[in-house]
Order: sequence, then C-alpha cells, then structure tokens
Amino acid sequence: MEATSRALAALPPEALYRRADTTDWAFQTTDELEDLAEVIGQARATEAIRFGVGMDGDGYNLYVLSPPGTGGHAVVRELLQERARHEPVPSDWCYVNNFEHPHRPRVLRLPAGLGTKLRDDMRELITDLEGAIRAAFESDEYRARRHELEQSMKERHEQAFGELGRRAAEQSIILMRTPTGMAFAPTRDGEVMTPGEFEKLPAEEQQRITDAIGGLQEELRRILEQIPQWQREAQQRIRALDREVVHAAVRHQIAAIKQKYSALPAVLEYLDAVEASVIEHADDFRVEDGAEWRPFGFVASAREALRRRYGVNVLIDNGSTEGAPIVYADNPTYPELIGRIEHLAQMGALVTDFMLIKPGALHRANGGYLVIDARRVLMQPYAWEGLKRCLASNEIRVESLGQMLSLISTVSLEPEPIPLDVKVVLVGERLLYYLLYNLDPDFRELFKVAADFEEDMDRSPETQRLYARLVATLVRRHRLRPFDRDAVARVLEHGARLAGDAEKLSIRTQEIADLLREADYWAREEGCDTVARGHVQRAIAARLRRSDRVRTRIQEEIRRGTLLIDTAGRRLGQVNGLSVVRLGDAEFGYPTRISARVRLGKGEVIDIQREVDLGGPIHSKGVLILAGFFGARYLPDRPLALAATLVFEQTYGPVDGDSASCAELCALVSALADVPLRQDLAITGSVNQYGEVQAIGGVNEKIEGFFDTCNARGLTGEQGVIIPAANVKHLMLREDVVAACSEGRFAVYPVTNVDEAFELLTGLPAGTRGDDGQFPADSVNGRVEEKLRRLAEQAHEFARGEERARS
Amino acid sequence: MSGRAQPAIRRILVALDASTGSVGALRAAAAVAAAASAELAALYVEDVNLLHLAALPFASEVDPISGRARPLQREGMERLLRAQGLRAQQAFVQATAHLRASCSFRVTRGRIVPALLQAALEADLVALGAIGSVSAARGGLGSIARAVIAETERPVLILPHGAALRPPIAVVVDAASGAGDALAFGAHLGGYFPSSELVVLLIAAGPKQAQALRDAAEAVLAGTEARYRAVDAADVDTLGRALRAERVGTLVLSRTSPSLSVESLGELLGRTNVAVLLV
Repeated sequence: MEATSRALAALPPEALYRRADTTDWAFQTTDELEDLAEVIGQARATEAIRFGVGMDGDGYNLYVLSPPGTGGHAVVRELLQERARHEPVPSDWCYVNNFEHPHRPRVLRLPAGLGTKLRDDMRELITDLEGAIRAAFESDEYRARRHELEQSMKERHEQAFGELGRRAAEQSIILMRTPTGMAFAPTRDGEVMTPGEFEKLPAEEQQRITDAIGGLQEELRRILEQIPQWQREAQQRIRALDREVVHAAVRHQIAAIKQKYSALPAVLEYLDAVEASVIEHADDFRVEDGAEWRPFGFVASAREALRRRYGVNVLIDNGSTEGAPIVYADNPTYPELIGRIEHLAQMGALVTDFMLIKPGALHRANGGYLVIDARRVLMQPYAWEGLKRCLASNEIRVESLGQMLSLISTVSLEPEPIPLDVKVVLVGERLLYYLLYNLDPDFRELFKVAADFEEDMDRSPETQRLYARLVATLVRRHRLRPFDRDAVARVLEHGARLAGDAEKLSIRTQEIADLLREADYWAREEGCDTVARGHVQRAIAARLRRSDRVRTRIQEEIRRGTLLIDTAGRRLGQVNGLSVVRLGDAEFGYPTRISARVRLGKGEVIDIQREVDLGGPIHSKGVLILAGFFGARYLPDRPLALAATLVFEQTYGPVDGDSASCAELCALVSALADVPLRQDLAITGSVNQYGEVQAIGGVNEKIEGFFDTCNARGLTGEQGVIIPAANVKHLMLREDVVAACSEGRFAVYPVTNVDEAFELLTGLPAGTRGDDGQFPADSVNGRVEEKLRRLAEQAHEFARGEERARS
Repeated sequence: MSGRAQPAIRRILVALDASTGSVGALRAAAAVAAAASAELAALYVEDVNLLHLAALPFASEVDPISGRARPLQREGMERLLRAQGLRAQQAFVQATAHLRASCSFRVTRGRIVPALLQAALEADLVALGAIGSVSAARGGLGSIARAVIAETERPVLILPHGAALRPPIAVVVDAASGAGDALAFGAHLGGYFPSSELVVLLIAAGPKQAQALRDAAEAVLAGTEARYRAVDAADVDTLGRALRAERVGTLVLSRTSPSLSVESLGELLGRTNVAVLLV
C-alpha cells in the first residue's frame, strides 16, 4: 500500500486575531456613550446576591466568589446600598452596670438615637443627685434626727453603766478601768480599799463584798454582751434613716427620668436598679471630690467613680444612621469583629468595667450588612471561629481570646450577649469557597448562598456594544480623557486576549481600568485630548515591556546558543516543544527541546523529568498516555519490547501540564521510525490514547514565544507552530505575529490528530492501515510498527537465549 | 474689759497615760511649748488604786471584748502599769523629738488626781485627754478630767479622742464671764496659725447685747483680726451648730462662764471633735 501525505494548510490571518467589529458603533468617542446601568456579564452573581440579601432565615449569608479584579467588592457594595437605604434604621445598643453582679454588665436596646439621650440624662441625673443627697444629709432636720439616734445609743450605754455604777456605789464599790479591762473594787472614804484594810474587815463583811462584786461582775458581763446588739440596732436605725432621707431626695428626680422612658420597660427596670443602688450607696455621693473610691478595682476620684458606676456605655449609636448599616471590616481581627474589653493600668494591675466594652464590626453592622474579605478573616487567628460562633448562636458575646480559649481564669467581665441580626457577605476567591465548603462543616450551614462572579463573558455584537459602554463608564469614573472608537476597539480586543479566547471578553474590570488609565497616561504624554488606538497599544506594549525581563533573558540565551533550540533543519528524535510561564502579571511562552531515545526494553516509556521528581502529576499522566497510545496503535497482539527515554532538555525546574505530550509523541515516533523532524516548527498540544490532539492553555503566548525565537534569527518563511485545532478559537495573537503570518513569513497549523502532526513534522505520510491490516511500509506509522516488530523479535530471541542458558 | 494681758506660758504639764486622748494632748502641748518656748513636763501616774485592787484576794477584771472575768494579781498589775508607762514614754519621746524646749517625763506612783493637781501647781497650763484609760466616762469627759477641771485653777487644755490643736480658734464670749482671759488665750493660740482667722462666738440675747460684747471683745483683741458670730444661747445644740458651721478646731472658754457647766462641756465634747481650752 502506498502512503499519501495530506497538504495541511496554515491558518489565515483573520483566524489569528479577531478584530472588534465596529461597523455598528455609531459613536466617535466614549463621551457619546451612556454609563452602564448595571454590571455586565455577572447576571448569575448579581441574581444570587439579590436573593441572598433578600432571603431571611438562619444561615442565608453570602459568599461572593470573586476572582481578583472582577470587582466583586464594588458590585456587592452597590447592591447592598441599593437595598439598605430602604430598610429601617436598627436600634442603639448600650451597656449599663449590673449593680447586683458588676462583672455581668447588662445590655439595653433602645430606639435609634435614644442611647446618647439616656447617657446624657443619666449624667445629668447623677449630678443632680449629688447635690440633692449632700443637701439632704447636711440639712438640720437630718442632723437632728441622726444626733437623736446617736444620743439615744450613748444614753443607753451611759444609763447601763451609770446604773451599774450607782448600784456598786450603794455597796461602797466602784467600777474602775484597768489597762486591759474593767473591775470592781471596794472603797473606803472614796479610795480603793487596801488589802490590809480588807483583811481587817469581819469575815461576813468580806464575804458580802466578795458576793456583791461577783454579782456586779455578772451584771457587767451582761451589759457588755448587749453592747454589740445595741450597736447593731443603732447602725440599723441610722441606715434606715439614711435610706429614708436619700429616698426622699432621689425619688422625684428618678421619677422624672422614668417618665421620659416610660415606653421602654428595660430602661425602667434599669432605673429601678439605679434607684436602689443610689439609696444603698448614698455615702458615696457624700464623699468629697478628690477622695478615692474603688469599685471593681478602680482608683478614681469619687465624682468620676460615680459617673462610671451610673454611666451608660453607648456601644452603638444609630442616631444619625440612614437606612440599614453596611459595614466593611477592613481589618477583621477577632476583637475588631466581636468587640473587646479594654483595661486600664492602675497601681500595676489591669482593671476594667462595663464602660470599657468596645464594639466590633458585628455590633456596628447589627441590623444591616457586614462585608468581609474571606482571605483576611481566615488569616486572623480565631476570627473565623469567632464569626461563626456569633452567626450560629445569633448573638454577640464579647469575650477576650483568653476567655474564649479558657486560658485566663481571673475575674473579668462577662457582658450580657447582644442579639445578632446581620447579613454577612464574605468576598473571596473561588478556591477558598471550595476549600471551606469541603473542609468546614459549619460553612455550608452558615453561608448558604454563593454568588459566583464570571471572569469573562461571551463575545457578540450585543456584548461588544455593552463592553464599549463599560469602557465609557470606567473612563468617566476615573476621570480620564475620552477614548475614540478605535481605542475602545483595541481595549475590547485586549479584553479577548486577557480572556485567552477570541470568542470571549474579560470582565476583570480592575485590569481593564488599569489599561485605560495607562493609555490615558500615554495620551497625556503626547498632549492628546482623546485616547486613540495607538495609546492603548502603547500601554499594552509598555506593560509587556515592564514585565518581560525574564522572557527577554530566555530569548537572549536561545539566540546566543546557550539554550539549544534549532529553528531550521531536521533532527532525529528531537522536537521543539513549547512551555508557558507565569511570573507575576507576566505570562510568556518559549520553546524547549524535547528529545527521545529508544532501545530494546520491556515496554516502558521513561520520563526523565518524572524520575527526578521534576515532573508534575499531569505531565506524568501525559507520558503514561503515550505508552497506552503505542500499545493500542502498534502491534496490538505483541508486547511492546521498547524502552524509551524522554526528556525536556535544559530545564532545571519542575515541569507540569500535558501540553507537551503531543511533542513527546512526535519525538518518540521520530526515534522509532528513524525519520528526522523539522526543527523550524514547534508543536504544542496534548494527546489522548487514540491519538487525538486536545486543547491546551496559553496558546497565544506559546506561538509568540516561538515566533520571537525565530524572528530573532530571521524568519525563513518555513517556520511555524503546530497547535490543536480546538485552540484556534482562542487565538488573539500579537500584531507582529499576525503581520508575519499575513506576509507568509510565519505560519500556525491547526491539527486534530497526531498523524497530521507527523506529516507536518516529517514531510512523510502518516499512513493508515490497509485492508491487510498493515501500515504502508514507507509511512511514518509503518516505519514505527516495523521497528517495534524488530524489537519484539529481538526481545523474543533474547528471552529464548536466556532460557537456553539457564537450562 | 479693756486691753489684753499676754498669757504667760512657761511650763506645761501633760497628763500622759498612753490613751489616744492623752497622746493628742501631748502633741497639742508640744505644739504650744514649741510656739511659746515653754518647758514641757509629762507625768505618768501609776494608779495606786489599781495596785490595791489587784492585791485584793477576790480581784478580777472583766474583759470588755469577751465579757469574761479573769483574776488580777498585784504582780500582773505592776507589769501592766509599767508597760503602759513605757508606751507613754515612747509617745513622749516621739512627740518631743524635734522640740527645742526643755522636756521631761516623770513617772510617779499614787492617786492620779492628787498627783496631777500637785504637779499642776508648778505649771501654767495643764493638757490632758478628755477620756483617759482609767476614767469612768460620762458624756465626752472622763472622771479624771472632770476632777482636774474642778479642782485646778490653771488653764486646762482637753483633747477628745481624735482631736488636735488646730485652727480655726473660737472663743466664747458672754456678758457674765467677762471673757478677757479667754480672748487673750484665744488670740495667743490664733497667733500659732497666722493664716486662720480667730472666731469670736458672742452669746447674746439680742443684737444690742451682741454689739456691746463685740465692742468689748475688739477692745481686748486690740487689733487682732477676728470674725464675730452671735449666737442666742450657749446650750450644747446651739453651740454645736455654730462650731460645725465655723468648722472650729479649738474652742477657748472661760471656766467662770455660766454658759457651760462641766456636764454640758462633757456633752459638747461627746458631740464635736474640738479641742477645748478652759481658762
């Protein structure tokens, strides 16, 4: 059977770069275009966000999957503002003292704006009470009543001791104070009887005196026993008097403030507690200012201490808020989200009270929306756990990290939790969403709505018109010079290149805006009022130039022969593969020599890259597919007696991806068929076990990479790149590449299967099996099969020889 | 009354028994001694009555805290009195450490009041606590203080518990007593505290009498600046209110004044916290 080679045509220039169709664009500059009313190309995401923010119920928080530059944050802000402005203003939240348990401050919920009013009213009340209580205690009436009580206590003492003294005196005995107590002594002529005098008394008299003193001592003991009770009674009566006086002084003042807050039962309850506390601690209102007072460890002037004790810590004041709040947590640390309890250093110790409770972003967003960058919140220790706990329990419990982790067991505040009603919008990358979804069971419960932002959109006449309006919108938003029609077209074409697809347009508005700003810069540099296509082109080139140091160095080394790349002639078992590299925002391709050697073996294809752990898993997969392809296509009824080695020459780092599998196959085939391959062509594409060539990524960069290498050495007109036909739609090549192809100095060949690649690279027909089941002998496939057959026979012979030697 | 006799204080007797009042009296006396360059003599009397009591066969004392009786013995009482004397001496040494005037501390054994009265004969001023450690107190004045006030003719400075010789100085002037000496003493004490104004409490039935008393007082004070306050009665309540209103620290009274009996004085001392100088 005779093999025939097919003539594979290079792609026409129009297939290499799809220009924007501007025929139905009626405008001259972007000034004539209207702003976009809404985000383009993100219908799915905006629908999801609208649903998420409108949906009530636990766990209906949002995760916005927004790849960098797609403007997720801006869209979320816009949609939230649109909704929040029509929603009710949430309540004010205040912390006040819990007089019974000061370490558990109470929370008060008040209608918006009333928090600060209550705080001011309380300040005024305490000032008034200070005056009123001091005045009450300084009044003559109070002094008289208190004196009466104290006097009655004294009189009771004196009466008891006086009576005792009189009874003693009646028996010629006196009550004396000794240095350590009290004693009775018999007297004679007003002086204590000496022992001699006492001994001279008749025995009966001595006994009488002894008995009398014993009785008096017993009486004294009873009096002494009663004294503490009398003191208690007196103190109680004085306290009752104080309470009565204070109550009279404060009752009217507190009644007045209660009247103002009569519709708020929680405030009334608090004011009752204030009243009881003021009455209980009335003495504190009498302390002269400047004296020290220590509630819960504080050292403060008496006045300041009172202000604190009866103060109102307005945690959230929504008095001037319009609509529901939208809070952006820029620094979502644990305390910034949940709130914190601050401390004051006093006398070497850290002390705190309810006035030092500070709000977090959740407090500020309560009743509205909280937007958080997912990566940032995940990077802050315990912030994610804290956020989830609040969302799961629907309340904000302010506690320090030490408390949360049970690291600190010293007494601290445990403020009453605040009910939480917030919609959290996490904005982050897709990867984070999928990781969280799979690894964090709470996540799917708490973030039920995902809004997935697209990075590109379909390219059609309609979307191209919208794209032009997007450019106009961005131009005005960033206050740039107007762009003319051709400039807009170039931006659009660059959008397709950014999308890596001639049929798509990138909607990473961040990148587009950057390009517009840079084009505007070049227009300004040239003194133009309008940005033209040339300015856009210059901005693109300048950007490329800024980031192409590595690309230039690689191409330089190829040109100088340090990196061995042939761009002319034919070589056996050697082919130009294409690699693509992304460094920062630069992405470029360059050729890499791939070589293959074969010998007798056991059917293995050794990928040297993989053997030294420089090959990634996808690369290894591509190589293993080659073995499958060989096994299925050639000598399916015999074992492969082949040992092949494949290597990416002069690569010193990891290689991954299967885009070189087609090139590797060609190198292997060349080595087996003993047919040299053209070196003026480079090839990219992955291959499956059936020999079909499949699409790969970075096709534009790869073609440009080989073009640059050839161009540096001078284009011969024979050079070109073989690409998968499935990648043709992705072509948006550089102007110079397109120009060279138009002039026939360079070519891009699309292939659908490896046979087409064999023919292009070898110039020989690939060959198909004839009716006899054999490939034509002079075809590439025929040569390969013949070689494999010979190897198989050699292997068989070799095996028999070994057997004979053993037997 | 006209003109002002400068009181001569050359020797001060302090009755010291280590009670808080007596230590207050010691400090006040030291202050006067320093200002007047007077000699300070402290006397601690070991009460012979206590020693007699302790020697009696049935002697026992009742603990004021627990109410329990415990036996007393002479040796124990001797020890207690020595310890008390030692504390008194320590207080004396401390109070007079920086005093340039001549100072002496003496311990004697005997009956307290006669011993004090005997020692007072050589003094120009007697200072003692309102309630001592041996007193049987009635009101704010103990039995020793009452006896000394009653029986000595010397000016007596009485310090209740917690009081000190401090300004403002107030002098009670009434029509009956002709309080020249009190005013002279008051002005003298006031001189120790130049930044504080002397307060003269005029016990007068009406404005006319008050004015007359004021005129007389001004004549005695001879240019010393004073603030005058008329009160219509010298009872404990009225006087107490006036003392509080003026925030008086030290009150000077004439012992010949009929305004205040010893009983009333005791009551006044029980209610207020002022040092009282009886002249």
